[in-house]
Amino acid sequence: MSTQLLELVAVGLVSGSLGALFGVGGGIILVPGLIFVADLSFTGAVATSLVCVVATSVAGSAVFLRREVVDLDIAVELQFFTVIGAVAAGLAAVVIPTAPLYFGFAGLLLVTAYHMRPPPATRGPDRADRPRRRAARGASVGAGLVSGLLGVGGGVLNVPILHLLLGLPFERAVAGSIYIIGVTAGAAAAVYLARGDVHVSVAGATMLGTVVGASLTAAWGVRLDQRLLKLGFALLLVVVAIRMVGRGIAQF
Amino acid sequence: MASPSSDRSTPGSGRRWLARLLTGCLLTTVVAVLVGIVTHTAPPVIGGLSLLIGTPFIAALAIAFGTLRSRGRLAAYALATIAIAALGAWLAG
Repeated sequence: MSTQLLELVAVGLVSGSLGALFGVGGGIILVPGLIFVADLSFTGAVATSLVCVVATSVAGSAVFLRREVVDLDIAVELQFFTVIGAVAAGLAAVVIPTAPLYFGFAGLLLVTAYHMRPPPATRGPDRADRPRRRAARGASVGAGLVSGLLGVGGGVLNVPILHLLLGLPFERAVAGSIYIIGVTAGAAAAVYLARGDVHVSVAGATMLGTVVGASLTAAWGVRLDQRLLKLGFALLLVVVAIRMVGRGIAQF
Repeated sequence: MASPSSDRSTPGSGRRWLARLLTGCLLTTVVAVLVGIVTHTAPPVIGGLSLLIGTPFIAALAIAFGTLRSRGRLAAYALATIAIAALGAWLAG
């Protein structure tokens, strides 16, 4: 096995493990990992990441469906709107310059780092009334755009939509989000694949690492202080965000 | 869109069947990609990744057909999702 192949499997392993540990799709770690470690272009990293996000979502959805915590009524409706956004983003990605995407990704990293703090005791509405449903549909298109442009699942947006706008309990919001990101990333990945942006050997090796990393972490868990882990992860995200800004500036 | 308490689209056995479908597709993908990497051949990797990308849409199709009679609106959303994704891939290709 070549060194680059091992590097890709390792990047996938780390992203799959951290993704399973912190409930994120993995793209937030994969895209910078593939850019800085495997030296892929931004588009190549996004395309590869989307394939791996599908794998993470499929594995997670199978678990959540068995536990009967996926609200399919809501998930199937919202995934229609996220797919519209993801397909539009995938098609538009070829005409958007790379530098703003680096900055956008850095912003997303900082938002995710902020979400690593202990969750406030928020409670969603008891019933999702009509304006909230409309807002959820609109926000889902936005989540799809972010997913298709930056190669992430969009869970950082989907969970608040499901929990705070539609009033799903937090665990069901996470389960619904995991289900939705698979379809969203799949739609965007199909666009990138059809355009020839997915390097199949790169995506294959990284996907294997992701599946193994996520499965091992899910099966064995980690007996470490969660607060310390989250703090370390948030710091890592901030450092990566700074490096992404640096890379974005270098594009000018 | 239903309230959280009225989630009745797919009965428990349907969800478990869907979970088995997803797991089966993922395992097939992993085996195909492993075979491709070990034998240094592209077709199994391409096939595996195509199956993986298609898996959420296979699930959407299963939901659409499973709920076509009882929950037409849900089936319509699932089929429309597949149509939009297919249109996007066609436009990109």
